[in-house]
Amino acid sequence: MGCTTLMMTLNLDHIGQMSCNPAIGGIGKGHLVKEIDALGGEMARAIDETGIQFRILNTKKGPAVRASRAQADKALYRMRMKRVLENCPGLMLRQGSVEALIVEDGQIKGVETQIGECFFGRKVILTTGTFLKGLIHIGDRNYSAGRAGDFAVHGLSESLVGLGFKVGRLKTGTCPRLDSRTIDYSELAVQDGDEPPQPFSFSSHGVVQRQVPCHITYTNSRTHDIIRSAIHRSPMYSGVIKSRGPRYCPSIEDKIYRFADKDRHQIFLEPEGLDTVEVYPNGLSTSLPLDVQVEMVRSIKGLEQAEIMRHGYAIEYDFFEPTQLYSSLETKLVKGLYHAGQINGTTGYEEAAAQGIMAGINAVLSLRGEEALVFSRDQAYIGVLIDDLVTKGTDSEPYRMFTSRAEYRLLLREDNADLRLSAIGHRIGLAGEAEYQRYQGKKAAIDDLIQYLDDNQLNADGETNARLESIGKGPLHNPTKLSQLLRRPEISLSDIRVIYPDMINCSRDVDSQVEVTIKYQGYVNRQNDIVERFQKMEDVRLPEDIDYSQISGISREVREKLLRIQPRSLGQAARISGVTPAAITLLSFYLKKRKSA
Amino acid sequence: MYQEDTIAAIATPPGEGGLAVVRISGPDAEKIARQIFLRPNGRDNQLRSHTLYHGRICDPKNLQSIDEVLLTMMRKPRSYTGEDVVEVHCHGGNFLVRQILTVILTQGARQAEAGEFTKRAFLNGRIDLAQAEAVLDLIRAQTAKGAQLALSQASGELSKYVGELREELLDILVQVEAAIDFPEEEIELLQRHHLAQKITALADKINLIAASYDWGRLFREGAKVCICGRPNVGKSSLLNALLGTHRVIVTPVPGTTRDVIEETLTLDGLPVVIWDTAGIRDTDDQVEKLGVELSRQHLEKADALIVVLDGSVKLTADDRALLHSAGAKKLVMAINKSDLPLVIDPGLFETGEHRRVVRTSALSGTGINELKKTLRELIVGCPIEPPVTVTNLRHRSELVRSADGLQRAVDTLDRGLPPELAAIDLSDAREALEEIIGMVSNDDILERIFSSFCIGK
Repeated sequence: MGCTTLMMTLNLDHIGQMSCNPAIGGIGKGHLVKEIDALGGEMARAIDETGIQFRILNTKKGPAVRASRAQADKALYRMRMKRVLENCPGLMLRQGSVEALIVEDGQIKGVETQIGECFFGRKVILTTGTFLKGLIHIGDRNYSAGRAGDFAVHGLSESLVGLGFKVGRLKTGTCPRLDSRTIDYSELAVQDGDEPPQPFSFSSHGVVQRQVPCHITYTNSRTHDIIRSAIHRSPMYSGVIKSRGPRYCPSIEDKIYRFADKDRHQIFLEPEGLDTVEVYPNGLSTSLPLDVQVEMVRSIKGLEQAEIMRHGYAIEYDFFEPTQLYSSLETKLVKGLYHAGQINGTTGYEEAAAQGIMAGINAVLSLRGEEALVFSRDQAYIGVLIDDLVTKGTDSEPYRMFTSRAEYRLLLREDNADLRLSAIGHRIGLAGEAEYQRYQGKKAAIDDLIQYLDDNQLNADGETNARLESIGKGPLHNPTKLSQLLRRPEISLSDIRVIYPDMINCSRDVDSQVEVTIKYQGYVNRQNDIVERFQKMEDVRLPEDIDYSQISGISREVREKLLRIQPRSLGQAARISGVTPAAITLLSFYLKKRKSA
Repeated sequence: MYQEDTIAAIATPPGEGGLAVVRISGPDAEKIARQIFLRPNGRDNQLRSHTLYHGRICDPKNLQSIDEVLLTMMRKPRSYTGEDVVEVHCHGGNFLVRQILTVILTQGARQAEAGEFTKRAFLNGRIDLAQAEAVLDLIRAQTAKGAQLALSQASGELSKYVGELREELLDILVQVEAAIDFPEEEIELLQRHHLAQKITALADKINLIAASYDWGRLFREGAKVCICGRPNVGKSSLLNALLGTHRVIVTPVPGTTRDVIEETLTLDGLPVVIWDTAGIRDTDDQVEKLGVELSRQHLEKADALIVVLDGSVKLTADDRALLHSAGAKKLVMAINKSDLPLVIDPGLFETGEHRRVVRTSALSGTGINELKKTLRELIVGCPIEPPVTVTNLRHRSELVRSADGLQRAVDTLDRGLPPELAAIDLSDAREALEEIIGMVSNDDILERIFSSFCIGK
């Protein structure tokens, strides 16, 4: 977007380093990646260039919840990301550890490193990952680290606390890494990627790396016995770790305790790259001592001889309640300071990237004197993510995206992320001209095809019905518009191309948009109706100078929450937990009174 | 519109009663109370919260004593409305109570509108929406049973039950959502048809309580019953017997009753408005014709009919025509004059869920209790008693909306459409239930998924 920017990182060789599972996407997360891509972000392109297995999840379900996931070659991904940064005009890269913020009169001025170097700028974005006071636990041992092999950062956290920020602590964990040469794959189920692999990026030309399979194995009762007999040596159970980990990403010991009746758990063996023997046993996250890790791994089928190359561990780190942020991701306490990623209590590369791009965009928009870009919940998963963070906070566990967090899921699909966001990415100057042209072309093609299906019809004659029969579909009794036929659940556009060979040809992308639009029209319309109602509440802006103590009748607890969160709109206020419908009624009465006064 | 002024009203029902309560609510409640309330022996009138004080209400203009009262002050937020509330317990009697209210109003309070205390209680978060609405129904309820229904809602019984239904719905949603968000987790989920069965079962429960609205309405507004029959079969005598009084002039001259006579009675808590109508028959008498026409109109409006037949003579063409014109309406055939030899054969009549036969003698009172019992059963008749009763139209329409959403979800599943579409239908159904109890939280689903399934690779 044309600003001169400094990127400060602890280790220039570790830009884009994947600390945990070397994979991008998944349900809800794939949606975020596509949105980032539509806005002009890098993530989708990077994984397309470095992915070694691509799969679309939920293919048996509907279009709204289909999601892309890909395994990355960890090293290639990292190098690809660094190359992009090095080639980015106006971007300076520096290695160093930021230990303090320079703030004057509530306005950010710059940062100071551990060797006393100062950098000044009008905006600062903090993306601290798990590095703030990171503490790695394995068994009863622990040591300070940002992740295995990297230093932790201590001063910055204290600098923020000194400025008045409320700090919290979260926990996450990772699996041991195994040596592929010591795994016996012969008896294990193979999981191949999709053929052909579908790239993430709307502007990508395809997947370039050699594709490799994953394998599936399972824990068994002996694995579970080993874990049970060693559970007292887990820092989670002995009470050394007090913060709560994510429930959707539990350690293996957690799974065995919380779901004692399950006699086995699935483990995916995922290669970490093409040029490495390291394997990521997805599902085996643990902080048990190394000897137990070895015993546990070797009790699993195919892993009897497996060597652990890196141990699994749990890590605790500082985060700062995201309710201390505006929807732009700017902090309420310090002007010009933005927080993005795990510092806000989220987990996942995709969630971090989504916040990173928004913090960056909003920092620049603010410099330009323009209004912040805030997506609403019916516009993007990014909007859902940030609204959840700044409204509800992340009190007890790291926040991860799920499609069920989005109320308007049918509207927020992976396949229409470009239709939703490309124009915005282009307007703010982030997405390129070529991407914009592609988006406009796609939009026009969709409109044309819908028009065509409405304008053309099939006669209920012998020829038509014979063709329908040839693909195993029921006959027509009356002349039927093509669009009408497509509404039948069992009929796809490719079926219609068989029945009506004259039909115009379109890209798969366009076809799938049109299918969704026509097939699910009733549902889409209903969601749109709900959005309209929802939008009314969102449109009621709450002025920044609102004095909540003037509104009688609302409880002290509700008042404190409103004061703390400072919602932008009545709709956002209603989403704050503990704010009752009655309080919202009072608030809206107050606003009306204030307006008329 | 919510205003922060002080309101006052007589809180007890109008009419002569032993005691009455005048209630003041708002920021000036205490100030007003201290101006008009004098404690014995001139003790200071500092009021502690939630304490009952004895004293007199005086007009501050002339210090004339109006009544000896008990007064209590409840400071916010621990009061019915959530504001400062003062209640004056005075002697009953319209004039006296109005005088006290007038004194309060002259001190700066405003006469409260109907339901305004409850509205404030709701706005201040003291009660939820369902409770507030039930309180308003309570105020309007006509009989003790109607009041009891409203009271059970006010105490949150409806909210509680709808809350339980919502729980069931969330459990179903969890199945759908878990399948969508965690397809690779080997979690055991219900099959489509099992899911559809569960949804249908829930819809049935919701429909049952939605239907109870009509039932609740009867208790609140009263059932309308029309006594009809050809002239001189003893309709008016029967009404007198039902009422236990001689309300209606009874003569052996057919066609004595030409106006419709309206009476009320209570059948085991069910308020009944009973219409005694002119005998229905073909007639040339212009006045009687008008009466017959009026009878027909009431017959249309009634929730149930008592068709009176003379058991001592054969069924006439007029009797048959009347029974025929009643159509599917609920009716009891009262075979009257059971003190005379029975000529009609009661076995000839078609009976069923909506048609009953009772033998009565208006003269001796035989069969009257059975008639009352049958009539009540017929009107209230509910094959399965609903676990809670809905008395508010808004609640009923939300329940219907919820059941519709569930039905659509079943259709979506049956048509083989993807589960996220069924989730939209289910969410509609959920939203409707939440509208009743006024609560919303989207985190519940994930919370449930994590506690029911082992998620996470």
